[in-house]
Amino acid sequence: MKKTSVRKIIYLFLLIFVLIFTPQAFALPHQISNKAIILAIGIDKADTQYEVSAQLLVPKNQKGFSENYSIISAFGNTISLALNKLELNIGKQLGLAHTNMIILSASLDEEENIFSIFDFFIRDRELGNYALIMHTDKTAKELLQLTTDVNESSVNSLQEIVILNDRYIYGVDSTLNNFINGYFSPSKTGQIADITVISESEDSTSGISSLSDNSQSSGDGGQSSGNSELPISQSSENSQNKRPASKNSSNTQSSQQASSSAETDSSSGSQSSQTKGQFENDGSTIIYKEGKKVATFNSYEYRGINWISDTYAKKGFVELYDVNDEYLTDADIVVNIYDRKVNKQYNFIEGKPVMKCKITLTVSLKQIIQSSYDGLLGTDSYYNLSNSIKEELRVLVQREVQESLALLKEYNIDLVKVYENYYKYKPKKWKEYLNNVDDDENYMQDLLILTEVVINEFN
Amino acid sequence: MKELTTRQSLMLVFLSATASKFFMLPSNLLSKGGHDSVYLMFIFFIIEVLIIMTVVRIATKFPNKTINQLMVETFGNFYAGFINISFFVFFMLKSILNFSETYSFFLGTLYDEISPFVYAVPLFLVAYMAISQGLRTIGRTTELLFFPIIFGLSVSMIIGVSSIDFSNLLPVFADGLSTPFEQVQKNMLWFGDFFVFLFFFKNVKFDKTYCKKIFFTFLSAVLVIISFFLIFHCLYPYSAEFHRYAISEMTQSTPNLTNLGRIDWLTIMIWTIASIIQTIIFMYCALESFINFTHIKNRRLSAFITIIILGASIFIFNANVQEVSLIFQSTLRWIFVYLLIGSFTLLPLNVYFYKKKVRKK
Repeated sequence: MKKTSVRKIIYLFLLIFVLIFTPQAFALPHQISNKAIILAIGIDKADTQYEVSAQLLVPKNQKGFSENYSIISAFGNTISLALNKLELNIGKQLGLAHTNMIILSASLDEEENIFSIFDFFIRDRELGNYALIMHTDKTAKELLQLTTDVNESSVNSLQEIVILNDRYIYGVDSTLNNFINGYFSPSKTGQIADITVISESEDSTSGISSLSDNSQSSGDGGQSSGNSELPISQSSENSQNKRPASKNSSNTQSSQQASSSAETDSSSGSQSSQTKGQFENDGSTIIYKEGKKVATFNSYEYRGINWISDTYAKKGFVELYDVNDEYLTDADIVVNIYDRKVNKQYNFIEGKPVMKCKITLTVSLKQIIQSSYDGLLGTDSYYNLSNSIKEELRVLVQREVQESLALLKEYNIDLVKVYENYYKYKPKKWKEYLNNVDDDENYMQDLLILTEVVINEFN
Repeated sequence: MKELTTRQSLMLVFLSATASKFFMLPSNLLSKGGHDSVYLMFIFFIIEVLIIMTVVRIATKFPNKTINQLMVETFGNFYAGFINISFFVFFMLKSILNFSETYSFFLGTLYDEISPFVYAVPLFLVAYMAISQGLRTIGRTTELLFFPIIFGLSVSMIIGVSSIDFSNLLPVFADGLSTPFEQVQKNMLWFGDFFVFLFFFKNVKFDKTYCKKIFFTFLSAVLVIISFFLIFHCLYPYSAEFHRYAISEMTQSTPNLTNLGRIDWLTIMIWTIASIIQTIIFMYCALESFINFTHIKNRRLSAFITIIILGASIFIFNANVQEVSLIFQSTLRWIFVYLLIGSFTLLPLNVYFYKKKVRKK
């Protein structure tokens, strides 16, 4: 009897709960309908104000699956205020759970501390810390627009280029988390991949109206980011990399470069705007120290660092020029790198830090280019890496490491985690060393790197 | 008939020891204490395993007595009541923390807005049903959900392992012990989950092999906790401060995965079930302590009062996890040390005096 009455109370309570909340739940709008799903954010700076552009995903009810993208922007004294204005302008809450790209424009290069921008993003509970961050030489809005135009999967095209960046010997791990970890590490350095925008605009008149849903709204103060646009073409290619002037004397060339291009056409009424553009990931990397931009390294310069880094940068191509031996005459050789391993020893010689790096590369011969193949075919040199090629590659790696070390010393930046690693493996000696130097911020100046390169052929 | 099977009790011990340690504790501990604080956590675990082994030995000798009966018969009602009040406060605090962490986690990862009331009412109803029914219900639920929970945790950890640098675990104690120790003792109220084991007295069949089984279960829980903390540190060596919900941050470490969508949420949600089960276990222990010191025979009424007290406490703290976290790090945390010392010294004394009494009779 007692049990039954208790049960009745519970059931009654449950019933009241259901009666109170169920009608409310039916009446409430879906949380998703109040949300604007943001895929990427671009940040520019004009005078003292930030212009924050957001690429929105606009779901559409159709028979099949369909999604459209639009770009909106707003100005504000801070990132949070600009995003708040965006919210007010579109009448929806901004959802950053699916934001996987943050683009910084060149206009932010003069920022005293770029971390003040990231501070907003790391506080956001929704935004993943592995969102990719990239720098562009043009405006972030322009790059964002280009990614919207480039293909139907929108921001993915740019993301795909950068997402595996850290796997290549000329690339960098360009995620928010990596930047923050670097910023708060003893070296206080952070790196961001630099994406180049090559674009041109053509205005023409046309009576044809497009069915584009890439409508763009003005964010603040009537800032219009263009007309409605519909992706027409998309291309992705590996273009040839031009070596920087400073490296022209070397006999190598990297072939890392990814690019995507877009040619879009849209019209509204009687006027149409056609935009052609292309973005390139040529391996350039922007280096920040204590949140301030200090240098831009091209892919060769960064490769010199990656040869001895503890990162996942393992793959890529290396080109060797004018190689000569018994069978090769002024041959250009392309070597494919499959794997890279590095063993490091952290020593002190005469009180100064000396890093001994044993780099083991697993490579294969990818291409031989020379004027005549007579005498080469049928020999070992045609199929396998000859000793002369191995030696050229060895010399190249050693030289690139030393050249990059010189740059690190010049800018006084620690991209090879010298401080961290010495502290990890030789904490006492490292503390002693820091106590003995005049300025412990200048520890890079005394660093010596000795490299030994072992080349294994991949068959 | 015993309330729990051996298997269920082991699963409950594993979940009790692990669940709440994977939300805020890694960030709290590692942001200031670094990886050295993880090594220092071993001290707690060694103490905990020693107490568990002692408890098992005692429970084997007195298979038909609860810990409360043993205390009352040896030292009297006053002493037992005092201990029970301490346990009640302890488990209430643990339940509040668990509730706030899980609520905050829900709010942070799944919902934009969810009222603590809407979240609390169904949870409290489930908890009420479970604790008023007794350990058997909790044990069976745990048995059903244990393997999906372990799957969720394993996946979360494996995803994290793929991109870490183990050298971040070096150097060991290079900057001395004071800072890591300070952090560990500051966060010690997150430990002591093993105290639930005291409430298994009489409810589990303690045979000779149980000692070995519980030892290995606890050892595996410790290994999982330590591994989790170390993986988390390797992923975020300098930014642990920003990663408040460790288990969800762990699975975000692979950009390729997040590119596919947040499939990690699936594993995270499974782990949240573990946290809810743990909250229910804590509430069960709080209820047992409440019954022991109030002597209210009506279990349902006691369960109702316990839930009301918990609800009121959560209302006072506004389910704010930061606030609760600060309270946990305040002087209140010493209740844990008090219980720890109490368990260490009084349990053997209890047995000694009990035996003496029996012999006299």
